[in-house]
Amino acid sequence: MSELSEKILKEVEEKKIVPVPRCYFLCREYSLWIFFVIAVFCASLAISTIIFMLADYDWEIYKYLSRSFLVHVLLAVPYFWLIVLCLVTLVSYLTFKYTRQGYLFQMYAVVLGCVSFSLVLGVVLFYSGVNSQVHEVISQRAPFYEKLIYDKDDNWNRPACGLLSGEITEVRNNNNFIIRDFSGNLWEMKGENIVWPKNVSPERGVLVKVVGQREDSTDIFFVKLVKQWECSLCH
Amino acid sequence: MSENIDKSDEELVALTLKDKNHYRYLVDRYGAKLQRYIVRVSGTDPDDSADILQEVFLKAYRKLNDFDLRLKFSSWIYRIAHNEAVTHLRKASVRPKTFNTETNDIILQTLPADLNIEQGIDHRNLTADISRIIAGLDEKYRTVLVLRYMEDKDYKEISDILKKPAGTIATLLKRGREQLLKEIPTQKLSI
Repeated sequence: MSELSEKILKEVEEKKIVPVPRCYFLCREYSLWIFFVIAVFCASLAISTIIFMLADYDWEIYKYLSRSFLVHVLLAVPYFWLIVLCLVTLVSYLTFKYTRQGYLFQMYAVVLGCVSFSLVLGVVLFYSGVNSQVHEVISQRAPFYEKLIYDKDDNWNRPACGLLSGEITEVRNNNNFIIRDFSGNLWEMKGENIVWPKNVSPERGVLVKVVGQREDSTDIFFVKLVKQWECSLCH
Repeated sequence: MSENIDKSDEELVALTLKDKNHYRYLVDRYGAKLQRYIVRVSGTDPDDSADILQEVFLKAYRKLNDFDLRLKFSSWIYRIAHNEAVTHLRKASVRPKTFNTETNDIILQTLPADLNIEQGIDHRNLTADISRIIAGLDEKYRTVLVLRYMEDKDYKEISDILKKPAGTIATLLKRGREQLLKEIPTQKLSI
């Protein structure tokens, strides 16, 4: 036995050093994998919400809002969710990197893999309708969230600009109906041969967006176009 | 217990977990190699390197259950030694000035061919000069060059020791060799 091994064993004996139990290292490894899976799932959720917000964005109304198309496009970018996506991707990369075999992979490969998987799962979540619920829950519980995202309600509550939205409360005929906007005001809608979208029927309780023109300062609105409140892809 | 001398590292780890006295075979097997590596990476004096080495073996003993059988034991214990040496190096903020050249013969088997250094030169001087230049390089290049040309580790082992992808190791080695070649004229290498 060499002097060194004698010294080491003496130290182990004196300080009563024992190997750390295997379960500690296993717990650490499993915890990393659990965090990784959660981070990838959050990334998927962020991607599905980004898809939802882009699909639900009113791309064509910029001309009614007196803004350039570029500004309108910049306003469509879901910055909040892009930041969330970057953060959770960073977390997923770091947790993966610290797993036992994580160091074997290049950073770009891990990030690309996570984002690709999240993209696929995000599309699945988008079609499952989870994102609109996420959107709604966060809107209700986090007041700051509304300020950070595109405010669809606000953009469609501008009668002076020719944009109105709300719930149909009464249908007299296909060219004359009443809606209650999201501020609670009632508006009479009038038009000539209004073309209703295929998936929207003129019925009580249906949510619609209307492009038209307000008659002076009255609560009468001349309808040019009726649209479904939510995009056809969104649930 | 003398029959343990022929046992593999992995078998010795399993035996050590049952009886700590088996640990002496692993310490004896790796003590000298690791001390040399610690000196090469951190440039410490013999006293400090002995303290670092002791800490390496105590840490390895504590973490014995974390030893991953997919790795070589040598890679695993070199990783611990590397981390300790680098921690010491950063605390001390020093750079090694030279290596012990007596044990550097492995350099002459591989490095001249990799660097296209002509054969038939004074090997003793070459070894000493290359050692001195490597000692002066950045830590990231120095460690890969030391592991490759002085510790005779392959890419996979270096990747496992430094916890970096094999592609990154290849890049670091390439750049390390380039740095080495760049330094040769300025250091007046005797070739």
